[in-house]
Amino acid sequence: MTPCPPERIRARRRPGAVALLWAARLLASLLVAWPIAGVFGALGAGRGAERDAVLFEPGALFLLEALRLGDRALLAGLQSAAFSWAVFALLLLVPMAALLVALAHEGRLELGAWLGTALHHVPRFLLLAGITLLGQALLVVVFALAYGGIQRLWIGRASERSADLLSVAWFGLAAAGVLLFSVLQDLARAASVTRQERASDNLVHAVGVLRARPGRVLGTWLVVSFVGIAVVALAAWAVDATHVERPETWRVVTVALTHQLAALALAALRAAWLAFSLRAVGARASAAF
Amino acid sequence: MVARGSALVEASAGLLAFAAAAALLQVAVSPGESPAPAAQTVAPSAPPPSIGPDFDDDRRLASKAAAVASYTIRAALDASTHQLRGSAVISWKNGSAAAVRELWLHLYMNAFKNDQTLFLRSPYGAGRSGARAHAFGYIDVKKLTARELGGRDLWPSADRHSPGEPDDQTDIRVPLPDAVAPGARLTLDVEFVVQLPEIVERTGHSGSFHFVAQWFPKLARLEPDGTWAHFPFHAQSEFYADFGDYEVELDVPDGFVVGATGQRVSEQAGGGRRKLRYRAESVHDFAWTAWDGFRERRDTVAGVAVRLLHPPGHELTAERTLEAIRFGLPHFNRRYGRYPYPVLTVVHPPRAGRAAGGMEYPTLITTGGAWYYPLVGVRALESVTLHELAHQWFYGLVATNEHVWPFLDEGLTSYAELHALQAAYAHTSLAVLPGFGVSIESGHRALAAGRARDEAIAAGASRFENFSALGALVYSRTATVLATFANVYGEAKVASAIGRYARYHRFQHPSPKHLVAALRETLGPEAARALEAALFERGTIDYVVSELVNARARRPAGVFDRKSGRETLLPDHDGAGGDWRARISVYRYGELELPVEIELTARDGSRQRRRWDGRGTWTALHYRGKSPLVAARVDPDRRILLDDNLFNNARSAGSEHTPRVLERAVYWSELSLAVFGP
Repeated sequence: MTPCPPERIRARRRPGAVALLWAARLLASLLVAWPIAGVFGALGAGRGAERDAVLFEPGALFLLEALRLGDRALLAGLQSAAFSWAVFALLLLVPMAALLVALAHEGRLELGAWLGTALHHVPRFLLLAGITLLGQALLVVVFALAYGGIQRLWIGRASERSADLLSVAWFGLAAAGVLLFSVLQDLARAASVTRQERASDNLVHAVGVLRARPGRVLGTWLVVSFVGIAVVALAAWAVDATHVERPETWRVVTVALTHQLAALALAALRAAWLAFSLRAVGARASAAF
Repeated sequence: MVARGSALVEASAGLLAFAAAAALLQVAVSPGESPAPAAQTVAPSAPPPSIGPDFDDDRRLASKAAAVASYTIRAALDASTHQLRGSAVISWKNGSAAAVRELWLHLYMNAFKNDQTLFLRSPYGAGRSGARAHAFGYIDVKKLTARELGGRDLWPSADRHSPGEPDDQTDIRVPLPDAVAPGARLTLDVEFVVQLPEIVERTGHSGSFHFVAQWFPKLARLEPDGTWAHFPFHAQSEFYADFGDYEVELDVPDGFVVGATGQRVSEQAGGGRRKLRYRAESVHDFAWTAWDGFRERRDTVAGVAVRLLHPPGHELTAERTLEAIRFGLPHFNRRYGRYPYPVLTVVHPPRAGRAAGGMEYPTLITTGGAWYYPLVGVRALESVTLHELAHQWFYGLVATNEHVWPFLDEGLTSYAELHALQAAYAHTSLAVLPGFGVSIESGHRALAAGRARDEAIAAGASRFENFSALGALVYSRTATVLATFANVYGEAKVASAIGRYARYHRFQHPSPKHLVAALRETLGPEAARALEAALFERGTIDYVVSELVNARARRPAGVFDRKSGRETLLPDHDGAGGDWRARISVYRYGELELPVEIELTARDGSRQRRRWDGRGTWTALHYRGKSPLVAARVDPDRRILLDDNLFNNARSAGSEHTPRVLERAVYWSELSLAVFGP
């Protein structure tokens, strides 16, 4: 497989890989969601001419009834779904690695070599994920422990609203730190694919990339994130206009298509961000970056 | 009118004047017309034969209460020790048919005296707030004399504790040296000291915030038959007292903003303190608040001067609260009779004093909620404001015994709140979320469903296992019962019944039978029977579509002996071209019989409705049409909110899968993987 020069790495050159990520997420989500839908079905939510449209009626009469009657079953279903979700989140490292490998190379990719290369990176991605998760957890713990002391600075001095906003700002800082870890992880993954070094070296390289052009890196991440939020909001608006609480089948189909278009767009945005990450680590401080 | 020592003379003069006016105007009370209930001293002991349409509006509304127990109180607040020193003159009339030889005093503040009182004793936090006391509070009566009985101090001979409760001093018997005859008045002078607790529930202090409720020695109500309606202060119970006039002077430090029951009539400042005098007529309690952190908003709504006190930073919630009052006051005026007082004080406590929130007192209500509630789509603020405002009618004006029948005030208030919120916000009356709304009706139903067997709705407050059970049944299930009856029999009829009940019994102390009688008058005897089962007998209802079977209609087959001779018809095995027939079985479980509709849906989309009166335990419906039946649903319009299980109300001929749920769950999983996944 031929490495792609950094300046030519673009997500739009690999639609198949983007579609693979979307399809993998869809399949994983089907398997995660199936038991949940089964619980609602067992409650009887699908009975009647309207089927489960009743759950979406304004006022939430039937939805609250489902939560009331099925609280224990739903809780068990959600716990099972959460476990499945975690397993699939790890397995999705494979299509994600495949996407990164596809973006980092040009020309036609031979399936066996492509997937083999992708699988080769998965253990390192797992390690990077573990390190990132640990770092994020530590950050949250530190912020939570410090919160009590920080709060004493404004208790009795600020109004309720000001005190709450200060608390939000404090935990907003924590959230920003958590997101920063995610940004570094993506840069480190990109470095792993292009530079083939150890995980620690990839992390150091990622930090170097961020330090070299923090505005460009974080700005790009923010733009991608905001576009993603806009996509989800637009999909929500379109779905709301479809009135899925009415019984006609075409409404469900329309909503499903709308949602999957949004999911595909999110996969494309992820690919765009990963492409940027590859460009950044491949040509640090160069014209391509 | 302030009742003083010559109240008997004044009342007599009033009656004479009324008689003279009646004679002059030749007013005749025609048969079947209920006499206008002016200030009555006692509630009717039996339900009226008919309230009638005269009470569908305010023409015959009582203008004030007969003053049975009036209080003139002076109290000074020490904001550093959170103590009150007070004295009161209580003018009380024996309005019963029996002579009394004892008085009973509610000393509610003693509920917070130690952790062995009835109120605080539960180790599981039985009160509404579930909180434990940190700094205790109490009320000490120093002296109690009765002018008409020689002026001797009666307090030394009073019982030391509540009956059967050695550590509880909230329900105290005071023997009298002489009997007080029916119709006689007693003037009591009492001196007392109150130590406010750190706020646990409703009353106390938090820092410089003081909410002072249930703070003075209060006479229990004497019922018409001469029995005292006294009770110790249970954590799940509220209050009950006679109407009277209150004149209260509050002495507070400078800089404290004060809100209180009634109207402020004078203010004097000096020596670093202020003396504020309040007057409230035709009420049965007096509460007040003082805090040096309040901000204030004023408005006039439906002729009532509204004063809102709120913490700093709550400008948005203040505006929302006022919006709720601007909607609620006229709304409740129309439904339950005009609010008769000139003022309404609304208090939004600070967060540290939130245990004082969500409560009602005559002409004063407390609300609560975070400053950001209006921003996150939760209608908690509107809900609590309308709920406490509705209490001005059901508790304030119709003063039922909250200890024995909590549902009469909390249940009716919850229904009034439900109706108001639904009128204002429809299906988003509880919460409005992106693309999604939750109605208060759905919320109440969900809270109440499944709890009907726990206890009767009409049970006494202390009978419920805990406040969660009381809340589910007394608040939510009562509201759901009334909403169901409104859906089934007509909202206008239920509104008329409750409106008549509220107007007729204004300034009185009715019991559940009066409410049932009012509803029977407009809904009929069958509905009244169902209502009684729902309120008193833990009545439930569950409609179930148990069977839906389709079959092709086949022509008759076999050997038939006709008049014209024997005829043999071969079986029509495939029934091709014949109609479809179906049989649908519907069961009714539970004690309540409510009429219901059943909707049948055929494959070609056609629908038809059948009606069942709900009598008997089951019914079978038969369908015949060109297209097979695919589904049957009981109560397609969702009228019977009391139905125990909404999901067994329908049955399908084919599969019963849930495509929308699956699709939505898949999408949310994809979103979460996109955000939190690799």
